[in-house]
Amino acid sequence: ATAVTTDTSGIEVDTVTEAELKENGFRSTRRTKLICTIGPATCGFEQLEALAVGGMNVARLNMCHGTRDWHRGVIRSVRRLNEEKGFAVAIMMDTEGSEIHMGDLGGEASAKAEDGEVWTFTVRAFDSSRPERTISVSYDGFAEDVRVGDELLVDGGMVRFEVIEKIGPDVKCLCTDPGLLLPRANLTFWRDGSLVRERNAMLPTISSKDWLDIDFGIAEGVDFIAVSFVKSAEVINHLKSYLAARSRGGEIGVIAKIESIDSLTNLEEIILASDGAMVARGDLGAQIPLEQVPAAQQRIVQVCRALNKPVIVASQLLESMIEYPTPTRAEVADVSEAVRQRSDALMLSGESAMGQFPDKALTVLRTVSLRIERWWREEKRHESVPLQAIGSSFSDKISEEICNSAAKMANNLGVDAVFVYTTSGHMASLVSRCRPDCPIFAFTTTTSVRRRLNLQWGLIPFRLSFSDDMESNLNKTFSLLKSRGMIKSGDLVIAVSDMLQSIQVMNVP
Amino acid sequence: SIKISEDSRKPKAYAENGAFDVGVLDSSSYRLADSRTSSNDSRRKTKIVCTIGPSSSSREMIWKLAEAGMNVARLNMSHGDHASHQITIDLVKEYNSLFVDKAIAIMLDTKGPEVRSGDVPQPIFLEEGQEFNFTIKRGVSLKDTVSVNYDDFVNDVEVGDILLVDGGMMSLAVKSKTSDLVKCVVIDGGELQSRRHLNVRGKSATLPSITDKDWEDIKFGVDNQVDFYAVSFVKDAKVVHELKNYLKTCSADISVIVKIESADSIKNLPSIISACDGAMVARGDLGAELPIEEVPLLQEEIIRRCRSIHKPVIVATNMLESMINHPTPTRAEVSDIAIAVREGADAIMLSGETAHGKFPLKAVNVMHTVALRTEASLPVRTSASRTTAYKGHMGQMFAFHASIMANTLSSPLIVFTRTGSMAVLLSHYRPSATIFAFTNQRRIMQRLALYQGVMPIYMEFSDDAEDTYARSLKLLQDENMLKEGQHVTLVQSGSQPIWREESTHLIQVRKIKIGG
Repeated sequence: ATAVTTDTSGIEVDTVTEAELKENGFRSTRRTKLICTIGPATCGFEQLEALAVGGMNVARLNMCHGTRDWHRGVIRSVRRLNEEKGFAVAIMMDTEGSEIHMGDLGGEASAKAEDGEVWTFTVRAFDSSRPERTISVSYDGFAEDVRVGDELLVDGGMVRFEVIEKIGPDVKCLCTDPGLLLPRANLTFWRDGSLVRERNAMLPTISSKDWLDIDFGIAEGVDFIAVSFVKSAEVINHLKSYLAARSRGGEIGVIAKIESIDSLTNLEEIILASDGAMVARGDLGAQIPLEQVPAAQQRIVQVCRALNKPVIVASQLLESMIEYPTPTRAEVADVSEAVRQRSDALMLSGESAMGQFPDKALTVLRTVSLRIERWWREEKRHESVPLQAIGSSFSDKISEEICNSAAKMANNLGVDAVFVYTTSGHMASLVSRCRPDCPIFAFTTTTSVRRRLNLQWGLIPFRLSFSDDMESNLNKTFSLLKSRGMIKSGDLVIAVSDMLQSIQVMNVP
Repeated sequence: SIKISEDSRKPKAYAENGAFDVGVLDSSSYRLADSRTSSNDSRRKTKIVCTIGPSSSSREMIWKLAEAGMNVARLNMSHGDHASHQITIDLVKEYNSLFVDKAIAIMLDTKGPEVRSGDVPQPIFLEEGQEFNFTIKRGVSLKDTVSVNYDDFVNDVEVGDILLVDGGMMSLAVKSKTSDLVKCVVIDGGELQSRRHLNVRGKSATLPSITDKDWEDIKFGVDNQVDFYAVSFVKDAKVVHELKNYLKTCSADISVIVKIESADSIKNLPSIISACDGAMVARGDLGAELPIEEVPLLQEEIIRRCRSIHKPVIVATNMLESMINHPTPTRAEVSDIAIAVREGADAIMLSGETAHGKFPLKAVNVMHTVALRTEASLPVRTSASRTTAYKGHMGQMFAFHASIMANTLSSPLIVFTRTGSMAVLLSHYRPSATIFAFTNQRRIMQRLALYQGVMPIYMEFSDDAEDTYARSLKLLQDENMLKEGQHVTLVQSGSQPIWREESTHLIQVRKIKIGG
């Protein structure tokens, strides 16, 4: 059931949303957005289409893996999917970053370290196959920075080693906690119970490989770039001016990954500078004590809401589904909590990239999101978090007040939808920020803005050509949506726009 | 051992910002006086239940688990025999006899009417789309057919039902059935091993909750004076009454914890919760009989119901599943523990993690640190607005106001109790500091081990109240649980007065001086 929707005079909305609106009405559409990392398990066109049908709003490309040719292939497939099938799947490119991590294990899926074994960590590169019990390390200063007696943690403690000897570029380590070593796992080293932050703390956030990847992303027209191990707002500002100077026409959103102690210390300034943030719980849990990750997640989500930036909860949401068709109960609870926090988006990593059940994992995210969202509507748990004023100019302040009021009216009047007409998308995100009880139909003139809005909570983005005349815009929208069975006469709608600073409440004629 | 709890590794960012207000679910009913938290109290309040099995049944492991933070030892009667469980019970009792301020309660968990597939000589590999059958004939093990241990299986299932193996690890759709055979098509394949647990989605088996084997196990529990029964697959309040009547005839004082794990139990939740002495959210079967996305909401509801009527509630199953094989939990698992603690569960439970996992002590350690950290970030209630205590119930009112006072003063609470009831009432109001519950009854001490925030301590009471207070304070000081200059809030209330007049109730605040 996939109709082609490329009629430029008409309205563009993805077919899944269209079907959902027709079948279930407005209120039950999913508000929480879903991101799938694309990998070997999901890079085919049919597989990508299955994910889009299953609810994927954003496709993530992890530049730690795969060649640029491979990524180009995926980007083009997603673009074809959008063009041919009417989806608005955004593409997020995730940079590798330059924190210390292991090499790719010479193509093996994993390696097992047993208690008492001695492994060699080396900065040497291997020409051919990986020697037994040897791991390459991404950071050249590794052998100089570590000391005998240091503790080496893989992925925050999945496997532990103790440094027993240093021989030139090789560091001999004794395995003290056995486990599986996965390709490109994060490495941290600890001395006297503290994270060692010496010259490795001076590594640039964006490495030279990352810059090449970014150029590639600009050339291929990705929608978002996620920056790993952001330490301060400076690097975000730097990247944004680089992008402004280079990207043609369409803007690229910059997402800061919060995964280090520095990023928590400078959280507000980083989020303020970015176009969104990701709670990258995997590496975060390797750098701060694990038990502090839930509180950190909550704080990041709150700060993003306050500053009106979309926030993504990522890493190990459904880890067990890499191998099994059903999640553990803990995973379901974790997903439900992220939905309750009203984060904008939930992300799958290995589950969709290389897992055995990518579609099932996506289904779990979708059904849990829908269930929790329905629950809070039934319980009438409107969000009533006081939101601080963020607008700097007078005109921004007006927009903000209009959106706050529109959302409040929508809840109190029980309207069916908020319509927002926006060229830049800003007005739509201001409505989304209020997390109103009804869906938000965001009409925008360009496909790139439409795709970017697909990351944000509750927004159903449509592409529509509209004018300065709200009366005619509304009439046009009503007739287009009615003709496709997406709304009906009598539905109560609130309309706001960034051209005309007003709130209109009306029944669909 | 795991070292993630060491202060030196806590990043500075947290020290500066303090704990975050994470009372998402509770904040509506609490008013925050300020951003003060209970972080000065380093005792964990949420209790830990550990299932004892091959990885943890040795004397050494039971001692280590107890030191790591186990409050309740759970015996799973689905595995092992009475001889092996006897050994565990004796070891726990031996441990308990060594201390006045440490008590490990024993919980006997019945097997219940589990529907299981039969024995297979070798695992059968099921592939998506293939046909596979279950028969009620015994001892069948073919490439495409195995036995089911339950004769009414054929009558219970209908064409179109979904059968789940091990809570969803594999699943099959029922296509047709004969008088003794259920024909299915595999939806999610995998390896079918011997005696796998079967569920029908949305349905509970029409079996009695307490089977003949369970009754034998219950008798074994009576003989050994266990502290709690956890009753599997409770469907209605009737079975709880039946068991309680039986216990009365044996003069056995054992608490009945109902396991909420079937579709039927959800329908009868209010009556079951009022009949029992406590509940366990057994999420494994609950998420198999009902859609998995219902489980978080049901968990919240069960916790809320139990807490509203002062009954302890345990969150169980899959809490640290990945730690059966790995030394570190997934981020989702850490988050899950934090959620259960925020929701106010009395206890969180480990199953396979301690019974047969590779890292039982690390699992307990992770639970301990995550619970402690989360508790420290909960809001502290220091205002008596929206009171739920009424003057009709003096004990409740005193428990409530004593908690508010203790929160305002950041002081621990001290209560003397023979029945445990006043300690339970205090626990209900979830004060931010520890409730030291002195009791002269070993049984009560054991039982209180399950309640949130209660630290039970055994002490003989003397006729003189002041002498008893002095000894209790000295004991707490000797064990470094109180410091000089610290305030304590003493509560004397409840239905059975110990040293006071029947009509008098007291809250007393004392400042600790050197030597008590």
